[in-house]
Amino acid sequence: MNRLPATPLFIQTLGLVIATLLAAQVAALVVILSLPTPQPEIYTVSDVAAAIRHAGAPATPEGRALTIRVENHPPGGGTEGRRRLEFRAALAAALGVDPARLVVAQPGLRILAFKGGSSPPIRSEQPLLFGGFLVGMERADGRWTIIRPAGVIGLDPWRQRVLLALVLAVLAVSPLAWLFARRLAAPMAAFAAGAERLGRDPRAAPLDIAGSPEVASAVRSFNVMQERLARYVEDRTAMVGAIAHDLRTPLTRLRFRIEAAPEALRGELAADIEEMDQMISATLAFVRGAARPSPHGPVDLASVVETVIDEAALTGARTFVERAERVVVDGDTLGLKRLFANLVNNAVSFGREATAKVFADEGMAVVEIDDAGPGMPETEMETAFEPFRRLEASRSRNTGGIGLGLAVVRAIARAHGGEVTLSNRPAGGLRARVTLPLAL
Amino acid sequence: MAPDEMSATPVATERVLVVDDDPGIRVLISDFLARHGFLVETAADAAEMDRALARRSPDLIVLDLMLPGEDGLSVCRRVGGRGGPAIIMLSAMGEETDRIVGLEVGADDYVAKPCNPRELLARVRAVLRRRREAPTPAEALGAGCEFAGWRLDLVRRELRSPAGVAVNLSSGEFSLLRAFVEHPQRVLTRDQLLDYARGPQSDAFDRAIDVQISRLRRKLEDGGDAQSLIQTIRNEGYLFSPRVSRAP
Repeated sequence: MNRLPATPLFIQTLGLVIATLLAAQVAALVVILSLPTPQPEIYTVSDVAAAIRHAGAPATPEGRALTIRVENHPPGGGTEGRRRLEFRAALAAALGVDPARLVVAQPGLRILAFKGGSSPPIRSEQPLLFGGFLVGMERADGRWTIIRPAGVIGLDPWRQRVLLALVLAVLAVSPLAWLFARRLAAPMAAFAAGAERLGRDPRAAPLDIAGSPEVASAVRSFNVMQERLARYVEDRTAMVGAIAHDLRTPLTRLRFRIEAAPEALRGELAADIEEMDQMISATLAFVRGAARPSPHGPVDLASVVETVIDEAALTGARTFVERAERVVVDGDTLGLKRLFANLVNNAVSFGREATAKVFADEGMAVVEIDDAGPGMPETEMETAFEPFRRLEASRSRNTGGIGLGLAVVRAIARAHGGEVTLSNRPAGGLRARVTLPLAL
Repeated sequence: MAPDEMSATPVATERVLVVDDDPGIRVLISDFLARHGFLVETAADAAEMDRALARRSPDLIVLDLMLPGEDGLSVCRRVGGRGGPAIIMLSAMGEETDRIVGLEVGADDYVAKPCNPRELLARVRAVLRRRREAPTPAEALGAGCEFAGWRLDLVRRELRSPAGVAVNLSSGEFSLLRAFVEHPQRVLTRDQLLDYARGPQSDAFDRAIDVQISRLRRKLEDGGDAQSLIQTIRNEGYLFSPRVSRAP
């Protein structure tokens, strides 16, 4: 089996099909050669005579039985032919009755005379009957005793043996086929799982899957693709970082230069600079959220939300914690803080106030941030998470920002294996609901 | 600018070295600091800085994180620390994680670009003041401490429960807890707590101290009973009861 991984998938599949076919043929051959030759159904005069005499059905050596019935009419297709006449004469002699009272019929004529050089399978002194037949004997009351071979229920014994042998052959080959198929499929399953993992975390280790050359080449291509993607993300992050750095340098100069400006002007300029800096920060946060690995560990989620709410309250916002259960998630404190700060900031900006709840529900940690605003049209709830997306209400009210807040929220939530959804509360206002997996 | 605006108490000329690759920023910062009574030199990169250091060691370096050649973090690791000049890191990256990295390599403080000049001035003064004073208990504690199974990382401002769960603190709560761990097993009045907690790194400490205490107690899972970590001493103040040890 050690050689198998290096064998191309094409050869493996071809080999599997041919090997299975061969195995089936061999099994059939073995069955044909090893089973005894099926015996024709042969009935001797004495068999039939004994059956009539004992009014019963003694088993013949081949295990075939005869049945006896009494009917009003003789069997149709009366005695004709040399063999049947010989048989009738012999039977009459054996039973000591007038041959005229006997009828030997073979409706589904399968009788074969053994002529000339053909050697009969059974040598016998007495006439024989093959296959289906009916022997009628007229009784004293004018009715007829009919003797015929008992119908075989189901399959003949030799057919049963052949079937059994074939089923056994299939059973014998199955485990091998199963192992083989699994060897073929396992790298594919591992490949799919690996792709899924990389989809979630672009920085995951490259795939390392042993398999056929086709699988190996797919894995290689996939790893190269991932590398390119990672490089692309890194390049983009580095570029945005460089732009941010380069923008902040002139902003810093401006910040110092306006110290010489009149007080009123200075305040306004400082506010403008602050706003530009906020945009740079948001952009940096967004590209970093997608690109940067952060330290993970157990975090008390309620303490994060409480801190965010407290710090927002310090700036004069109406923010409250309504419910704070101690729930622990596995995550990055700074990322989680940014997530909830963005949600609280949105709630305060668009919905006047923020009310936070932290609790555990169905194995997930849940944080709900409710506001007291006008809510949001259902149709915009999904698009609201798209980067650089700003709802009309936000643009017209000139609330600032460049539309990355919710995109960052979702990126962080998903990086933690969670999700964030928006909904309008029945009582009015928008609810942002973040679910994160509880720490084990 | 009117000199009284800064309420500047002219300190006997302390020397500051400004290291930044942008000539505009070098000139603007040095002019600004010079106006407020500092003797300022400038350097454009690490090599130039080394030459300036060789001539005469400054009291404080305002160090840009992104320098051509040897970067600010490496410079900070090299010249920062106990014996050397104080270092204020100045960076355009301005992220919380960058701040932590800067502080971990030995910077005394971290200011994000574009900074408010007056904030930079306040930080420079605060860092120099801290350096002048005898080593405070905070410095004795180094980067972190332990009490009753809890761990407080003073650089990352991170509290971990005995179970290892990170508990987030607001800056007010952190300042208060730092004041407690620096002065353990001693009764602290509200005024003392306010003084200690209003360090240079505490930006927001406006809330009533009792509210902060109760928040801190909740985060420390502290019932406020006799075994309480933060005990209320009637008519006096608060007492931080556990033994505090320097984190290994």
